[in-house]
Amino acid sequence: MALTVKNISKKYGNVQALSDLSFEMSRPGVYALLGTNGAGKSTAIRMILGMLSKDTGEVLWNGKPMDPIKEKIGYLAEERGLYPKYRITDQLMYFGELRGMKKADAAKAIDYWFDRMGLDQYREKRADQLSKGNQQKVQLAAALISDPDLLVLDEPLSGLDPVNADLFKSIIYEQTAKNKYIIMSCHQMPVIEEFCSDLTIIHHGHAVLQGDLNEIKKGYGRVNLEVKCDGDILPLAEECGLTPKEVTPDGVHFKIKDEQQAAALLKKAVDAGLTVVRFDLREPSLHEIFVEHITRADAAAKEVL
Amino acid sequence: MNAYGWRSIFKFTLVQQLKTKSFIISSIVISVLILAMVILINTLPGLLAPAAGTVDDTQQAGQAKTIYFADASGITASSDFQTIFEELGTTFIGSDGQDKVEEYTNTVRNGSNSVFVLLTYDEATGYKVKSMRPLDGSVSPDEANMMASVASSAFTELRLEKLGLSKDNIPSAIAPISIVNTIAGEEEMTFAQQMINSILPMITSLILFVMIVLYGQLIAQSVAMEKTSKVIDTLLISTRPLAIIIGKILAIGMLSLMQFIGFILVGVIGFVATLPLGMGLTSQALAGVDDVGEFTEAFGKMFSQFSPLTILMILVIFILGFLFYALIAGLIGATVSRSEDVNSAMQPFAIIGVVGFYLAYFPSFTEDGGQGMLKTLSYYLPLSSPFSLPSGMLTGQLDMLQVLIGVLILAAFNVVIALFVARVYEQLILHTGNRIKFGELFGLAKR
Repeated sequence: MALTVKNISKKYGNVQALSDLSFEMSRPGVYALLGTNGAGKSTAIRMILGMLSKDTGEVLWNGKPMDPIKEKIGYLAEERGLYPKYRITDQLMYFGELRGMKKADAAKAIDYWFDRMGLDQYREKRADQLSKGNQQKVQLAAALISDPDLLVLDEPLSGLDPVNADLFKSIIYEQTAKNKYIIMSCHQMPVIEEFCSDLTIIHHGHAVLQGDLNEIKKGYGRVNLEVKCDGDILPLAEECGLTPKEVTPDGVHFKIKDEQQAAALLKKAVDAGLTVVRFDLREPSLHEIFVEHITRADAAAKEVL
Repeated sequence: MNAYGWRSIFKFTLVQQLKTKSFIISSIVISVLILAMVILINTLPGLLAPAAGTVDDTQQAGQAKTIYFADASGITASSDFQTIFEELGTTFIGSDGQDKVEEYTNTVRNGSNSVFVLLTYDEATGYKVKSMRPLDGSVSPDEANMMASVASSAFTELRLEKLGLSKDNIPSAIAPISIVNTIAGEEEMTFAQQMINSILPMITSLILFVMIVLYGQLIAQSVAMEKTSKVIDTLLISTRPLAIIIGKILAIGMLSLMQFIGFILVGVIGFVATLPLGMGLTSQALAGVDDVGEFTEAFGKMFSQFSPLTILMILVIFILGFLFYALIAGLIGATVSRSEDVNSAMQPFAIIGVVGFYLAYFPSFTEDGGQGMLKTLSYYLPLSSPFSLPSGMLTGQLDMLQVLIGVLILAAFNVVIALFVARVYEQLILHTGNRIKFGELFGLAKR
């Protein structure tokens, strides 16, 4: 199985919402679609799912044009939606039937997901009688009810408390373990780092960064140094030619040229008799990469203007 | 355009709407109101009327015991009327000319249970029969009127007799003359037929109009709710927009039909069950008509139109008419992004419905009895044909070919509207923000 997105574009009036987006998901796992608010992520997702018409381009699933109605697809929309006055069990049964499930299979799946998500006690409740978190669980159950091969999760963890966020994460892990294809849009970068193999960062409708997350990070090298010690490290850092990027009670953050600079600073600290509590040399976080690319794209856009 | 999944949407929408409190409560309340109404029609007049044999009744029967009669007509004499009034069980005291008028007036005014009937002639105003009753109220105005009426009828016949007409010729001389105005070559309509032709379009139009307004609003709200609650995103990965709107419209159409049939059943059962209870309005209405047979004949003629084909055609017209308006309502629901905007967005819809309704209904009251140009137009214009075609069939004003032409025009318009709605609905369904204006819809359809 593989998902191929080729040069999809969408224009609303004079606004180019998405321009020539292409990516391929050739192996199971989590593919991240990242971007600032209004970048074009949801438009891309709706086009992939056939909900919005494409001005250009195509979306292929297993080499054929994707028809979401015929394929096994699950979708958790960014803006949660349930019928407020209807029983949640009826709604899930309806969504299951719309996905072509038999009544008995849908009922079995509902039992499983209610149990898995701790929703059993709310079976007879209407959607508007549930908390926001529980409504979100029902929505995830609706996305998973037909055991989809391709799962699209638009901001799955937004608004969840830590316990429910962990529950959602564990379910996403289960799905990846079952070799499902997952496209996830999320603003919580640690979550993306936790799950995703490949990503695309979209800004103002354009892809500004794409590829394997590990490869992208490796490309940057280990240029982030965080140091915490019981004395003042800043004079020693200055001697090594390092300027602090950020000073917090938890330590000092330096951007270094190479690992030799870090080794020199560590030697000076030890020689000065400082106790080094933490010395962390690492690749940039996804958060840092994201911010860097968005800032760079904005600056480039300003230059053009 | 694919409508895969419409059955699931139809089933779900129908079942969920049946479960809603508003549907259950409105069904119960309206059923109770209908039941109460038909029971009242059948029983209230009987209950309010005084029972036979009461004191009032006997007093009424014996009120006018003496008739004073003064004949100043110059043609007849008071003695000509004596037998007629004595046959009514009264004592007759008569005189000719105006000599006794003052005496009789005073006697009756100050007396009791007597009526003074005065017959006069004036060149300017003609003959006049005047009845006078006592001051004490022992004779009712109705009873005094009845005496005058008896005198008037008798005077008409006596006058002709005195003028030389034989008794055999009198009935034909006094037979009423009615004036009829028809289109050349067409059968004349009786009064009863004219009444039915006027009332039936009103009833059938009103039923469809109420269904369209009530359930059109429900369709628009349902579409808008799916948009505002964002359920639409979940639905769209499983089915097409066309299937959503078709499933929804058919479900609410079925709901309206079920509720409507339920109301009719409640009404019929209540009416039939309470008919033997008393002298109701129905019986009184029939009793008050001069020629009940005329109505029976007119109704018989109407019901004779109820062949299986007619019933099928009426059903098809109702469904097509409902679909026509329901599609427009669904489109309006899709133009708004907030449920609270539905009511204001539905105002043009209500206006369209009212125009169609009145176009079908009002020509029935024109001088030509609803057979003119405007009425003909209402049969073929899709806006009004759902309201006017059923009554046109039932009253026999349209033959089957004319009905078929009307139905085909309506069906063709439905297809055009459905294609337009399907195109625009796909564009609108994910639209958020300001309400789409009417003119913008055509732009969306072209995309």
